[in-house]
Amino acid sequence: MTAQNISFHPMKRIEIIVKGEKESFVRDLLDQAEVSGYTLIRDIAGMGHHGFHEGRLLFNETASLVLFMAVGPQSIIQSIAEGLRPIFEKNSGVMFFSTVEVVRMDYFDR
Amino acid sequence: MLDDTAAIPLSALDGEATQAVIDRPVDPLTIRALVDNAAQPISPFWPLRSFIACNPLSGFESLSFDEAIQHGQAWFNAQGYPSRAVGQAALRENKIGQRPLRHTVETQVRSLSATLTVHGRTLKTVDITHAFLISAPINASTSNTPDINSVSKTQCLQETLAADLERLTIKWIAAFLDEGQAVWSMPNRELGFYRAWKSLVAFDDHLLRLLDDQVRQQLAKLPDKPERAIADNLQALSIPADQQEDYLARHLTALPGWTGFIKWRSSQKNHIWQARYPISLTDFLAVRLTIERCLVEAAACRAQADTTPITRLLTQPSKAASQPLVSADERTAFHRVIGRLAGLAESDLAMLSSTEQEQMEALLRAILAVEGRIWLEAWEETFRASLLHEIAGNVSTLAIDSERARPAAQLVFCIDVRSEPFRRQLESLGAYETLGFAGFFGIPVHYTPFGTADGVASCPVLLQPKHWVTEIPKADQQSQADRHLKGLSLTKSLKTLLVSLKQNLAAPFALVETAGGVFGLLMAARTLAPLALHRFQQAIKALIIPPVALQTTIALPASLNDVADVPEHSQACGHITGLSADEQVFYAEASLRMMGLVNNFGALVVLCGHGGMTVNNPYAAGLDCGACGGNHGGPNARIMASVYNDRRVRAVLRERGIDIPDDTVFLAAEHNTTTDEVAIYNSADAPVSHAEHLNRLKADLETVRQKTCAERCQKFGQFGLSDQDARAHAQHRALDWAQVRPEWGLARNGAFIVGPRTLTQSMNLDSRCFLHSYDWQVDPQGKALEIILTAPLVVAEWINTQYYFSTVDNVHYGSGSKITHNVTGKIGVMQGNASDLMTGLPQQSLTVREGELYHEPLRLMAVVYAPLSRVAEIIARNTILRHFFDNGWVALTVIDPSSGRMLRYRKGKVWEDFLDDKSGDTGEHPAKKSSLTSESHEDLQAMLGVQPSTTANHPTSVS
Repeated sequence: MTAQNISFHPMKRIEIIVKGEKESFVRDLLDQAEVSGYTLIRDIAGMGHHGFHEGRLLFNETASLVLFMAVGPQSIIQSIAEGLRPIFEKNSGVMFFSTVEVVRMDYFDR
Repeated sequence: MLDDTAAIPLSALDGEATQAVIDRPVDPLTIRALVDNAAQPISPFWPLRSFIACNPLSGFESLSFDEAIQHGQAWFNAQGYPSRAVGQAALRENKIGQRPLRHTVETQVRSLSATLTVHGRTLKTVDITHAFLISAPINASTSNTPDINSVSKTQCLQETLAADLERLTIKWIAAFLDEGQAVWSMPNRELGFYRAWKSLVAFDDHLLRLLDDQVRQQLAKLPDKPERAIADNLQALSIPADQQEDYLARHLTALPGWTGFIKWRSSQKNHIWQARYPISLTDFLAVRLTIERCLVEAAACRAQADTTPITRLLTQPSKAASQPLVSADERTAFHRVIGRLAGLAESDLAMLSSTEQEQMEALLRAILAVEGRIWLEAWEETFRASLLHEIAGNVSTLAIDSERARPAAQLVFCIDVRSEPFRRQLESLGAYETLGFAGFFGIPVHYTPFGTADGVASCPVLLQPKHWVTEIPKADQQSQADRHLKGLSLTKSLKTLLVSLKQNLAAPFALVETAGGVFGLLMAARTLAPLALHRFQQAIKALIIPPVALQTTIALPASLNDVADVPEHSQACGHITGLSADEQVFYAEASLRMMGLVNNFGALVVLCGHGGMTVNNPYAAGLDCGACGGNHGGPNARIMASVYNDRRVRAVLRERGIDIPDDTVFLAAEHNTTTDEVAIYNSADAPVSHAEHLNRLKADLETVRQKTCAERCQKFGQFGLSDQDARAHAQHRALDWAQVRPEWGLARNGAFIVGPRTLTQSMNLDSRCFLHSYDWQVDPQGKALEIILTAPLVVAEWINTQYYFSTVDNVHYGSGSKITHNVTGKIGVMQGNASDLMTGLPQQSLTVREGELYHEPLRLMAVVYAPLSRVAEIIARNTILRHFFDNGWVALTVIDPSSGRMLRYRKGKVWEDFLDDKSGDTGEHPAKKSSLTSESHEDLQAMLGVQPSTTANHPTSVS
């Protein structure tokens, strides 16, 4: 696909929302999966199956939720999802997948 | 994907279950997730140097308290409720009131049949239960340990294998996790635990002796990745896929202390030992499962048996998970109670029909099942009702007096329960106001003292430090600082030399010959005259390491455009030190609003951090400030005092409605909770005009020290001491190297009170309450209250549950007696030379003597003086609070300022009105329930069917 000399390449994106206490585990998992990078947003708020979750807790970083966002080839994103599946069997949290397009494919594909 | 070609012993690949495992592809990420799930029952354990209190059942806080207790019993074989002996002792000492006990019995047996008919006579279940509890034998054994004669050969094999497995695991894990205690450290640790073990296991004579040649050979073919090793072992041991998580959890909970420490350490990416020698629970399980597989296969070879039944035995649920037995003594006592209540002779009871006997047996078992809960709730109700009645008397006096006189000084202490006696004594001396606030004063810093390379995270473990602050000499102190550093270096070299001589193969003999006499004298002085020795050591220390006036580096460098702009102390610690002007204002405003100190500032405002004082005590950090990550709180006090004294900060605060007068000076101090000495750091910052105030304050602090020491001495059984003698006694305890109980720490904590000091000022809270200052009128959005309930309350709950569980089962949740403690790896203690890492509190911190508790094992009650609607909203949007209050981990009582009503929260947004019926016994609290879901206070009032009351002394009844 091209637009004005820019080529777009399909990639998969995974968004993961988990409790702050699971941040370390997810970071390890993303490192192990060899994803080229990820975005982490701490202290997010929102409504879920377990009621409302408040963010911006000034003196407690473990009780609020964190959001991870990673982009990569399908094989990597799929292995991340496989690794996370058991976690969501016992813990609250969600993950979303979508197809995105990137310009610098080598940037996301190790 | 892992390499699926790794060798798997063919002998283990029989059966459908194994096939199910083999069919499943092995993904390292899935194994890691499996391990993470399996680790849910394990609470993280912080090393001794910080000794952070933690709920040992924190993994189950999303469950009800009772369900969590049952999990604790199933996973750790641990008791979760006060025993009968403890309950009956509390009843005898009136810590449990008769009426709360009766009320609790009525509640707990409500689900049982209301009556029992025996020999034609009908008895109330409530009467039977009540009478049985107070008369049941305390020495009756309810253990279900099987008769030795009934133990099969297979069970003997299981226990032998389990003992070998534990010992081998502990040996390796202790060697790997050592943080500087071992003289010869384990090689290859940089490879990570599993790989390091793999490289050395061929030299493990203990293990090799237990194995035959065939199994030994497998050790040379172990996979390189721990995930692969786990997958192989699950296959080899024939663990079905749907049982693998449970199986791994059984292994992790076999040594919850060690695995708790690994859980903590593996989450600390910046921990120096973790960065150098990485370890994870996946590593741990890979090693442990491999050892287990080897032992099982060797045993199977010897017995010419399949491995499956042996594995099943190793991982079967603990014995305690099954139904407890009823002892003969208990049955006899129960029959005696029935006979007495029914007016029957023993001969009549012997003639009961089999149906009646079965009914009696069933009732006895039902009573035993709820007995612990009854003791706990009756005890809690006695304490809570008494406290609330007393607070109720103060509610009417809380009208804010806007014209109140300016205090001579305000002193801000940590919320720690140990601050309360000191505050109470100080307030009685004059126009002093005291406040309670988390001891890190709201600023999450990494603090590096002068002359040290490594700093500490001086903030609650719920937070990561946000700012780096170092201590540097004041401008005119350079020569003194140089001498100080030289002295430090010399002392360090001498210590290193001494350790080397002691650990060298030949040198100890010469060392004893030459310096043995000196050490003998020092030991005698330490034993006979610790105070004199301490003074002598301090004098020598001052000569070698002269004191130097220091300052903290708070302001950020003006510009950071060039490396040259970064100060030397910032470069040394690898971080930009200090806080920006905006950050300073943010922390200043947040902390002042949280504690409600926004006007009527005194001429002096003293921020008192705190720390303990003890020698030869591995648990020293447990006496320090939990809000400062198990460190002394003085540095945080100094940082915040500097921020508050900054005129630029004050100017911005003034624009935001917090007008700190120009003549107000903030001082930093530290409260020694063992000796009650308060040391003020920056007296020199006070202008001459404040000299009189300051001198009077210092004199009063000394008076308070003596009075508070006299109060604490009574708790050590030292009665009749003069104030001076009490002061000396407290100091002696702090310096006595044989003292197992330098202070009582936070023992007997039971409540967390959020509100103005006037709510409790007239009361003697006896060091039992965390006190957090809060003024609901200066926090219209409730954000300050939300922070208090989601952070300081959480820390208090951790402390409370650690004390609770360490008390009700000191063997499994505590750490046993200090007498047999063995410090290992500088990280924790073991009992003897190979035990689990002991995670909780030692027996001596909880008991006066064997069998006599000092701590009262009660769950925390939060008392919040704030609008009900505000509290309800905060609970609704914070999962952690819903877990606390709905699942029974923490009780909650809200005192609504506008009506004076005291409302107790019950699961499902139900509020009960706490009423004083003045019946003469504590704990009697007729209550009516209302469901409150509306958000506005007016709506709540309307739903309750009452009009707001502004002067209610005692809550009015709900119509």
